[in-house]
Amino acid sequence: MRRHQTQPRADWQKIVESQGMYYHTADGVPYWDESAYYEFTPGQIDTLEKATYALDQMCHTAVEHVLGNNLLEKFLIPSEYHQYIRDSWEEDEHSVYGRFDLAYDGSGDPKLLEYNADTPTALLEAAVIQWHWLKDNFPHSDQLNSIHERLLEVWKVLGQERPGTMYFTSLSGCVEDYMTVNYLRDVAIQAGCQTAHIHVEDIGWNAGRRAFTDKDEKPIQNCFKLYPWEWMQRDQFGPHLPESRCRWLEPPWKAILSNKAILPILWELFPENPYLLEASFEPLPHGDYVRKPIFGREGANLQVFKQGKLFLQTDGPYEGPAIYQEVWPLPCFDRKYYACTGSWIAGGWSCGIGIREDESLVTGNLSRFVPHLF
Amino acid sequence: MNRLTKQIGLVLISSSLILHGCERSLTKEEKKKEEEQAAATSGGAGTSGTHGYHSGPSHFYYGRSPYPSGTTGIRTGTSSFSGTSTSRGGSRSGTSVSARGGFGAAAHGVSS
Repeated sequence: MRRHQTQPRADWQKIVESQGMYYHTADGVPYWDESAYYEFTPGQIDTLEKATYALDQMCHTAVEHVLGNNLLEKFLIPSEYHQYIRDSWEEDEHSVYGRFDLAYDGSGDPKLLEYNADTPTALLEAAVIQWHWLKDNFPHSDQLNSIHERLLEVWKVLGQERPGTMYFTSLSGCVEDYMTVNYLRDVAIQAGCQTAHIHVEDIGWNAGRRAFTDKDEKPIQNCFKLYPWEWMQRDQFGPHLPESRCRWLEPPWKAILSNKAILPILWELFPENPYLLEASFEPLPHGDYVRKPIFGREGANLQVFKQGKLFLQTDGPYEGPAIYQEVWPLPCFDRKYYACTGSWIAGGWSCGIGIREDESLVTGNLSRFVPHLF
Repeated sequence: MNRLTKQIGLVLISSSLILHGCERSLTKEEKKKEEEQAAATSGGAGTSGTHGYHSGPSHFYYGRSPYPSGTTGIRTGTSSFSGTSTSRGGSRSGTSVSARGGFGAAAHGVSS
């Protein structure tokens, strides 16, 4: 795994905008950064695929364990949603996608930092933008990227399984979220689904019909949401979730896997697994750990401890209980750039990676997306 | 997987879809043109596309921002939502008109 400097394409901003990526720059700094790329060997790509499949399998075992042992309290999931989640799992509700964030430097085994199982983004850039970059710049090279094709397969299945309109929803006012759901909607349309978009704030609840509704009062029976389960559960309409007949994507059982509490559960079930880092609901006795809020996102509110002393922390809005994970620094390239490898899974297929890069040890909301090849 | 033979088969999303929520609606002429373009590239909504993402018009947004007014054009992070929507009739309980604004208040910013 090597980092290379390269020349961005002329008018790269216009190019990526024409591909649907309008959020390529943040605060005047490129978020989509094609001034560099990462090169892997085929063996390293195989390693990432193997790790992704293994992690996915372990996660499913962990969900069984959590539900079988009534551990949802540890996940701070309110009791009124426990049966709702259990039903979703037992009915085998399909998942669309997820992204494992890995620390990997090209040697040894990738280590799971966290699993974005419910609302992963950086999807359009991973599935589409970096592929076009590859074709333009390195047409004879390859890329770990069949994300789009796998998503298409998923939506074909979902379209047959769930006839009627599939709604796509996200928060108003957030460009990246809006384009992410629109990309997924585009794929669903190609797969034969009837679709509609609605901002999450515009979803209605019709008390008489006991149904969520769109702005035309039509019932919403199937909805892909880019809005986390833990927020839905705490919103005003949350209590209506179990009684409505709406089927959501990601399914309710993903609230278990997207929760940081899954990390100590995984470690408990698979101690010493090469893809996992030691994790606990209590500070680790050796004193070298990262404190991660159970509902934290985007690298916010992290605290890194070394020998029990606070070494680094990030700000953010996420308070509350946390888990503690062994410190495993991201690999550093060119003495400056820390790289986090996001490995995508769609429909059960390991299907692609996206590299996020930062000068900080912590990958955050503004960490740059850098393409890759092998 | 792959890889060398991969072909991204994205079809163009209808720009009326992209422009959802914008201040300005499409004119009839634009809408007709757009529908023709979408049909040409995707066979229409609900059919599998066989053309490339860019096989159709190069600027299917008509040169305008595809985003609802009020968005910043950048990753908005944790400050993207004002949390004011719960005041919009969230407590109504009639049978013919839905209450709205019951989702979204817990938001800090989704992208991760």
